[in-house]
Amino acid sequence: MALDQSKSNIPLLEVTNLKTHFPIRKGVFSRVSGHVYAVDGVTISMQDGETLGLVGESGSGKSTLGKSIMRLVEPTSGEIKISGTEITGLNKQDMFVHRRQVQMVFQDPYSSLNPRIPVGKIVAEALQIHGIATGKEAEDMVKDIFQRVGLRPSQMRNYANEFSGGQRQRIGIARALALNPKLIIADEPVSALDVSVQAQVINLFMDLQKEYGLSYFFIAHDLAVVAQICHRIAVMYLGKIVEIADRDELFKSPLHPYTRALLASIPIPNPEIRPAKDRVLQGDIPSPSNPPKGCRFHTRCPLVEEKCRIDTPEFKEVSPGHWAACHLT
Amino acid sequence: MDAQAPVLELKNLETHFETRDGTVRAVDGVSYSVGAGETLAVVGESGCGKSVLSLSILRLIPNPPGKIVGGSVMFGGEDLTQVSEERIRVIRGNKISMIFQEPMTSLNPMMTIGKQISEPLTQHMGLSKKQATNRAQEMLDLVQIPDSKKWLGGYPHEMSGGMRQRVMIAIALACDPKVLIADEPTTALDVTIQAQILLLIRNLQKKMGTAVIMVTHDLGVVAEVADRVVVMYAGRKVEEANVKDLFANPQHPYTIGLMTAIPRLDKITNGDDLNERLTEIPGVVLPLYDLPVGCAFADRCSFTTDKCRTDKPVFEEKSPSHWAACWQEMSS
Ligand SMILES: Nc1ncnc2c1ncn2[C@@H]1O[C@H](COP(=O)(O)OP(=O)(O)OP(=O)(O)O)[C@@H](O)[C@H]1O
Ligand SMILES: Nc1ncnc2c1ncn2[C@@H]1O[C@H](COP(=O)(O)OP(=O)(O)OP(=O)(O)O)[C@@H](O)[C@H]1O
Ligand SMILES: [Mg+2]
Ligand SMILES: [Mg+2]
Repeated sequence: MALDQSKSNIPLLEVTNLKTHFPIRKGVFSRVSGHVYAVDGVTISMQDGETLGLVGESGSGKSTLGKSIMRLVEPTSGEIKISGTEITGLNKQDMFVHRRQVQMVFQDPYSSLNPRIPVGKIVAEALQIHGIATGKEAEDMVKDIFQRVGLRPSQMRNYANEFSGGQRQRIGIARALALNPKLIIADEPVSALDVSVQAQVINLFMDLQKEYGLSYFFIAHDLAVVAQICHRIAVMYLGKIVEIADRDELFKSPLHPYTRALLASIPIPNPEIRPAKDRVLQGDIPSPSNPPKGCRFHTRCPLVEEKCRIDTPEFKEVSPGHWAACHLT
Repeated sequence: MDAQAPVLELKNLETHFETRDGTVRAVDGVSYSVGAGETLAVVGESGCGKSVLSLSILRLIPNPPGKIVGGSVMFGGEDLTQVSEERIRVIRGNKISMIFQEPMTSLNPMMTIGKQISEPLTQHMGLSKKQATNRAQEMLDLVQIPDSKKWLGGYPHEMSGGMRQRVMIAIALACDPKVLIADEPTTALDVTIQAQILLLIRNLQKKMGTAVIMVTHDLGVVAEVADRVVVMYAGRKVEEANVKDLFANPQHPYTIGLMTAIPRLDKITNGDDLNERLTEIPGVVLPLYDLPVGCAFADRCSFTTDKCRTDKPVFEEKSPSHWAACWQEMSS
């Protein structure tokens, strides 16, 4: 390890001031009448072998951030480096090479798999497209991958609709694993699954990490799930990261009022602890096309002060590795 | 609660669907009752019949292919499975209200919010138009929609998901129902909004003494709102208990599985190890048209014996007021 200092210091993923805005078009001439500021200045980095969790309310920009890193949507500005290589400027061909390193697993195991192609072929196609293997060789590789994710090789012939939700999610993971990526961006990979099946898939993620040193960028709205598998957790609100810290630190001493509200809102499966009534956050999530001035959380923040309505709080390191964007910390 | 006569009582309700694969026994002889001011939670895996059970109470099952084939639903001295079509219409949205999981599909996109709340009031409760509109605004205030007056003329698509769900609750409660059936009312919502909605339902229930049936798959929600819990598996009730007993001392292996399969924030924040594996419930739910003769959970259960495969477990009282359908005795 010590010999390779220079190399291991390069983050696996480094995102700097990333913005992804969507134009809102109106009228017969499709004039741009505004923008959805889906991702609005995000800076994060990840080390090899790490699992970074991303939580936040619906519409806060989590999926857009994940897709921007994959360049499945085109960022408006900012930098994305993967193992030190800037990828925002890459042309199609170079991007293609890079895409192998980063793969995505989607929320909906039902719509993300083509129902007309046998699932083994879905995975084999990924190998073919990337010129890794074809024919018999590809088939053997798929067989191996199927076993790794807990599917039977005989199931390669079946179609997606013949599988349960948890099995389909395994196929999605198999497809991502086929290219031997370093980083998997998992966008709500267990949200659509039943509790009993969810445990199987979460365990699979953890096993694969142990075995292959994979890194995960794990998007979820369920903090308990995130806490189960993530080393660090980032909290997103209206296009911005408002807090990031090691898991235990975040749970023990959350700094941002939104993080605190989020933690307090999670129903705890223990009837002996009934929630305090005062934890409930008031108000609705503002529109990301017209975010509040100053601190974006000020319209719902229980601690709001005058300057919160005017100035955007700086994202600062409050203690080593613990960052937050709040005037009051 | 026990001393009080139940507001709603289901006895051996059976609802089947005739499909190409065979008869789907979506609800296979389920009984429960709920009293005034009480919250009963119904939990279970996706597809186990929770929604069909709720819809059966109000006879909202599409026929064909569905049909209530047995049992009764007693409400105010009447059996709702037997009353006339006209009578059940009066009871729906008047005496027994229902909130669905997806508020967008259950609200009328073409009708103003105000009209959607007030129309049933003029139709069922004999209020004048003016009275009904006032009541509609009152209800919007009650569910904490800001600028309620303005929103009376607004449309569902102009609202956020959380606001729509609150409008659904306003509609459901406008007529002071005796029973509120909430089928996954917060599943599509964010946790901070979910917390708002759950608190709202709880407060309104306290104020009006409504009996609430809360259908959910989230054990956190159950722990938070329920007085009593019914656990369903493959169309049947497999366990029923007071909420504290159920969590402290689950008796059915499926319930035990559920309790250990969820990531526990309360444990994690106690400093438990990262990357601790969760307990899995192996296998999947069997299709409801092809259930085995014995226990439907036998294939996924680690306590299975020969008897489980041949005889349907009897739903019996394992300890005072704690019932389960399992041949094994779970130690506590
Ligand atoms: N292709 C697009 N065109 C226009 N707007 C978009 C597009 N994709 C996303 N948005 C908008 O960007 C915002 C962020 O969306 P995104 O899907 O990233 O949120 P999210 O945090 O993943 O939410 P959820 O938890 O519901 O999945 C939303 O307001 C959404 O409507
Ligand atoms: N119209 C229908 N025709 C045929 N089968 C049906 C129909 N509606 C429901 N079913 C079947 O009845 C069973 C119970 O469905 P139900 O919707 O009650 O499940 P649930 O417990 O509410 O699940 P979820 O948690 O996913 O909402 C399922 O197996 C379903 O396939
Ligand atoms: Mg998303
Ligand atoms: Mg349902």
